[in-house]
Amino acid sequence: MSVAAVRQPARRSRVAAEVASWSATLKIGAGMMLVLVLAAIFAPLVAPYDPFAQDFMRTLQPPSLAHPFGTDNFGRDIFSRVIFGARIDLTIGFVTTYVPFVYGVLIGAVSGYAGGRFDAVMMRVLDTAMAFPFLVLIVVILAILGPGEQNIYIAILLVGWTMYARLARAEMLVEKNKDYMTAARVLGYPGRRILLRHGLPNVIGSSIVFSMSDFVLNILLVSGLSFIGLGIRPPIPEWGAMVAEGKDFMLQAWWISTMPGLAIVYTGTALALIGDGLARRLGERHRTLV
Amino acid sequence: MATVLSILIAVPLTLIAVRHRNRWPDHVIRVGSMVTFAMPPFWIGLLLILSLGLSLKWFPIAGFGEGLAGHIYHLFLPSLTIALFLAPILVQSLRNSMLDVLTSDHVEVARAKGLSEWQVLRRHVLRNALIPAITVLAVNISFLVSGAVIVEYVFSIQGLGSLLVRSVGYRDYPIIQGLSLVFALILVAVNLIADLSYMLVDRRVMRA
Repeated sequence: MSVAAVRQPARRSRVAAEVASWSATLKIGAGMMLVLVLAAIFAPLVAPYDPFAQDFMRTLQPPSLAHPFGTDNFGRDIFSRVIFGARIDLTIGFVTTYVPFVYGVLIGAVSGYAGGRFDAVMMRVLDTAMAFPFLVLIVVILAILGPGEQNIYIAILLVGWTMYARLARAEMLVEKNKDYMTAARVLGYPGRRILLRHGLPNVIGSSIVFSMSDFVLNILLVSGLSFIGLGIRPPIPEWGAMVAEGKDFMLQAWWISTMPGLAIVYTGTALALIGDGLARRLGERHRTLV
Repeated sequence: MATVLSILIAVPLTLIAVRHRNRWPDHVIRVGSMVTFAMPPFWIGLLLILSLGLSLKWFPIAGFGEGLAGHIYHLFLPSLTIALFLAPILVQSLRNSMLDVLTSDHVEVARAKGLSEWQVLRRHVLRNALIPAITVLAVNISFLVSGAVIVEYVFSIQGLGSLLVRSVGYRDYPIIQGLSLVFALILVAVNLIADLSYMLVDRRVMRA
């Protein structure tokens, strides 16, 4: 692969060289994720059946060539539903991870850099949010707003930023007093420029690494919420909701619950591998949860 | 109980991983912990019910049991479910901090005294590596409580978690308010216990 890449024009060979320099874990994780994202984007082409089509002649069929993951109690093809579920789970996971990522890191970096009253207020807000178990807080917010996809977004966006703010602030407190920051100040750059152009690139690393673990946790959270009936409602194909639907048929048809669960495990493993690879690449001080 | 189980799973695995660091047992344990981390607790719970509970009939699949022994017996599967979620996080943080400790001088001294590698790891490395691991454990009690809410639902245990889920269903706001306060109190208390337990592990903290 690399030999062919060298002969290509500059831009492509740089991408190839970058990929070639990745560690094995990063390559495998990125590959697994790429397959999943492609499957989600081209779901109508990949999925052999309509995820909502019911077929009462073929209910509770075990996995076979026609139905790789079997069928559920309405005769819907589980493979197709898992593929379409990837769209929902990946979108929710991505939004609930990277939107709080942006303002969490910003809040953390600013309060680490500025200190003073802003820092004090933000950190007390953060302590309060972190005093509640994450899922309990989400459940309470959902209890007030009611279940549904939109309210899950609102609930997680309200509390998901805390970890990023904490990480970015801790790093900023260390970076603030380094020589290059002093140099930037001596050059007379305004505070905003120092913060965004000099500080932020150096404090963002551990947040990026953590965001991979957070992505997994958020997918687990959303599927968990759907499982207890507070998240995405059936018949929308969401993995957690599918596990819940299959719960009552565990004895006759283990595949209804098992297959969507395996999809979650696959996604989580891919993300954990990417996180591990990134952590090694960015250096020892960045650590993933797993 | 889930915490105890996860420690029982995590510590020996970490010792093995660090003993054979960067060779295949380490890699197997690392990849294995990534996979178990990615497993949703409610799904592990269902699979455990199906395999150990219904097929093998080793453990009861629901309820709370009578007396202390009955409680422990009935809570084994739910605890195992949460432990499987918590253990990988613990393995990873313990492994990292043990690798840090391994580079310090007193480990060299212990080796120079002629202690076996296992003794060095257990007596000199593990104890020093515990403090960061306890911190990680305390932080993740938050996830543990979150896991408990869902796992109680799977195993239909009458606990605070399933009460919370049910009262959300009935829109019983006073109960929801009270429960979230109780959960917050539990979390704060656990963090306090973690801070205090540093003293047990390391006497130097007391003087500081």
